[in-house]
Amino acid sequence: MSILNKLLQIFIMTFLALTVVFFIVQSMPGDPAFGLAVSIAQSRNMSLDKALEIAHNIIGYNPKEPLILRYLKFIRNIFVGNFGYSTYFKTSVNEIIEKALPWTLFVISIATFIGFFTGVTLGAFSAQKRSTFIDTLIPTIFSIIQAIPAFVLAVFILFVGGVKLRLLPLGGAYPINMNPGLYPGFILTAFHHALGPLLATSIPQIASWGLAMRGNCSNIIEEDFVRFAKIRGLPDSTIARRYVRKNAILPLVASLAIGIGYMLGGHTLVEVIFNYPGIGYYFGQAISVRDFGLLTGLFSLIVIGVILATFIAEILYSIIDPRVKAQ
Amino acid sequence: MKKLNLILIFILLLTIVLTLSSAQVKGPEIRFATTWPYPFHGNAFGPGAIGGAWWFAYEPFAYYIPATGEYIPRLAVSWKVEGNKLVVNLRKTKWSDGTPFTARDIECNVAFLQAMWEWPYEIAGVEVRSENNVALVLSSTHPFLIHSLLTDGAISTLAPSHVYGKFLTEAKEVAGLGRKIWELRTQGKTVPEDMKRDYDKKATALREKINNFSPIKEMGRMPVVGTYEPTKVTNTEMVLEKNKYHWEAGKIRIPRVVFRRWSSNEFVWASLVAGELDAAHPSIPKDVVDQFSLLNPGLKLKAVSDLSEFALVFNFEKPLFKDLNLRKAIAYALNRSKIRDIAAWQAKDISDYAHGVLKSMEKVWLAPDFLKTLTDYSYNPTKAEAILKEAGYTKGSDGLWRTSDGKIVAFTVSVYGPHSDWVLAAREITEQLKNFGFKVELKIIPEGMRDTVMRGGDYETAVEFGTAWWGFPNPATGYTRIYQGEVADFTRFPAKSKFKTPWGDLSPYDLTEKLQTVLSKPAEAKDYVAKLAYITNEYLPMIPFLEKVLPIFYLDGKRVTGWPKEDDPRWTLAPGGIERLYVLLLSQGELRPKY
Repeated sequence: MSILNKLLQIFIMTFLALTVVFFIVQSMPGDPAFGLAVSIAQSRNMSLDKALEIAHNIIGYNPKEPLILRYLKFIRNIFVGNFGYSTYFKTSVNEIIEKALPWTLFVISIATFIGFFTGVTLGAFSAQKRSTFIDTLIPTIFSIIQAIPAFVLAVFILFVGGVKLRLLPLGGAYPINMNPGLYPGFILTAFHHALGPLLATSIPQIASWGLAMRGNCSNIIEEDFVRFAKIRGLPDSTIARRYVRKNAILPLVASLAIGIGYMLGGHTLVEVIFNYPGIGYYFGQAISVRDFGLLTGLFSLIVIGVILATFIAEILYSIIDPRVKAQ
Repeated sequence: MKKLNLILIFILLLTIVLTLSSAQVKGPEIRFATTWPYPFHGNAFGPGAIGGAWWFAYEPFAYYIPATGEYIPRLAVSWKVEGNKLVVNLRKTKWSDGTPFTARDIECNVAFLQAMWEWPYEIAGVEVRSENNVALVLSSTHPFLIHSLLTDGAISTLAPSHVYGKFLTEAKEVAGLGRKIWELRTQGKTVPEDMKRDYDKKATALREKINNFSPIKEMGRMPVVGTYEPTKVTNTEMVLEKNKYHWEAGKIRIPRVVFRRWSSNEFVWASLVAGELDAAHPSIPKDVVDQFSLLNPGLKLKAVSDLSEFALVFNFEKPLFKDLNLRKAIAYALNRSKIRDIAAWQAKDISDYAHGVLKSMEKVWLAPDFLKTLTDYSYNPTKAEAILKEAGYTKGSDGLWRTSDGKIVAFTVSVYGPHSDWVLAAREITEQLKNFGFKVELKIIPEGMRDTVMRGGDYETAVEFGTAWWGFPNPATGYTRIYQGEVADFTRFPAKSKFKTPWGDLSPYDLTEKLQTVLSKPAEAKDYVAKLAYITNEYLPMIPFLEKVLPIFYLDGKRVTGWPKEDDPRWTLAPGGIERLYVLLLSQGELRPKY
């Protein structure tokens, strides 16, 4: 019964979130045909109003269609798995997702897991070495990384790794001469092409998870049960592994789950700088050309991803935290 | 130690894979960057169409070189205007799938253009006279229209009849209806509602069919008549192979063109410096360019006029700017070279005149002796002060200029926010005019509001495009813009009034009309251009401060060589379609593999 309740709750939450997504995107200023209209007005030497009318016809966008009709169409489509239509790319959003999502998931999922596990390990290690040089060094490096804007870090990796050292390939997910497939040569090449975006995405995550883990560990080390364990004469490694890390990691699991949900949206900045063919690039394009259909579709994908990830996190949480299970 | 071994093995594998993948490149290739919408349809009738492949896949009747005024025949061998017809002798050539290209293709193409893009309705009919001779029956033979029909890549080859022919009957019906509606509207008549409904219904049905039609998916290729055919497209790369049936195929020495997706300027910068691209035209700040030339000394830069100027325009509905003395004082008070340095360092400097002819084309159109007769507005704040004082303006103890009736000279400089180079210029103009003693404020026009603000006259002065030779690169286009087009709409300059000139009292509006009728007679055209230049310079409907340029970065000697010399007029083919320049150089075999 409780699972049914939970599912109902998820359904309502998804419905409300999608409704909000739709109305937020629809309330964005601008007209998706504006860019095309400007170029028509310039090349044909006509008024912008007339050009806009022609541009609406060309892209098949009717600004006069009642909002409520558009909303009902959107909801009906989304519940049958149709994420809409991109007026700019002249194709279904599903097709764009199908082409771009695997690359996004490839890079962002690896980056998220590398970021999480490396960050958590280093954060816990730093906390374990309290009052030593290591505990000064690690948080300082993490803080510096956190302070570097993502854009600067990505450009740095691109120029140093791709231009100066020539270690990273410039652009694309694989060389166009190669046929994609699940064979070792292709997988290795794809991994090599993903290295730049991977580094640019995972380094800030390592720092962020690391600082969070260190903070959590430092608090837990002060708890009575840890002191009691020390008095009992348990070895430091056992205390760290079984008493501190396990408890410190729990609050991070929920954040990780939400992060996994957000993965579906890609990383626009990194994908654009590295010319990587993921969802993030299309997000950027959708905003710049005001492709409301694509924007709504991609936002909906993220919303559904985050809600599902949160649901999975709750289940995971109850498995790894006996207190939650007991409740 | 085990871990270290694993890492070393991984690096070794990567190296092998990379070596193998790079070895797969067959034959010489040239690499550019461009945007295109993916998934790729191979169908031109959508926004974005086929992106950078456009000029490679489609051929216009001719290319036009602005610097020389010369047409280079492409798909047309020759052409002439006969009465109300443009008669074109077509080149004997084939589509890339081997199908002969004929006059029927032009007929089909025009029907699709009118049906899908509602343009050019000025073509009233297409007469197929023989396989290689076609006449476009026109409702006007205005030189701008003739130029556009000859040079626009869309006019001739977007819709091959053997590919799009199955939709031709519907396309002709929609085009016919659309043209009828256009004619009624042009004549100022009301379009019957049932005609509109019928048109909307049929046009929507056709658009849906064409938008869903993908030659690439259905035929496995998109036959083109141009130099290169797109053969492989991924999310981030597009490969074009030489069209072996192209009439210049024998001359082409680089069989393959690769486009990288222009995802960001940073990516394009990095690719240029690393030698991964052979040419691109990103906007790059000066300090970054200096850095790049250190990293890759082979990288060269050619700045070509983008055929437009940035200018400070006045709103002539505001009484303040009806005073020519004030406009002249502003022209002298502005250090235009400095504005250029700050707003767009690569742009061409305009620090002397304001005559409305592009600085880069000045020598072609205006004789040096004539230029000497014009007022030179080089930066001279002392002269600006003298003009104001003589006109009765006074400078108060607060350092602000006042009109003869004691009002502080206060105004705003409006600028469209999303155009960052305009904003930089407007800030500098505001500062310079403040320092001179005017009370000036900067006003940012929000995104999407430019047309409303400027056409609505809700500004005092503004940074805008001044003269622009887009479409037909000729002074006539620029003066049409200033006295009859967008600038006239924005400024409300009294273009139909007569102004004193050495040739008597003349109206710039009438002169522009006359100029349009004598474009085929260079001597007469130059005469009208001089008169218009005089009025524009002496009566200042606007003050231009830089000529926009297109910076082309190219690598000579990495993969390819044979780029034109610095002063080659063909560089001026680049604005409005840089790929035309690449196509011309590739198809004539000038761009060739390094080895």
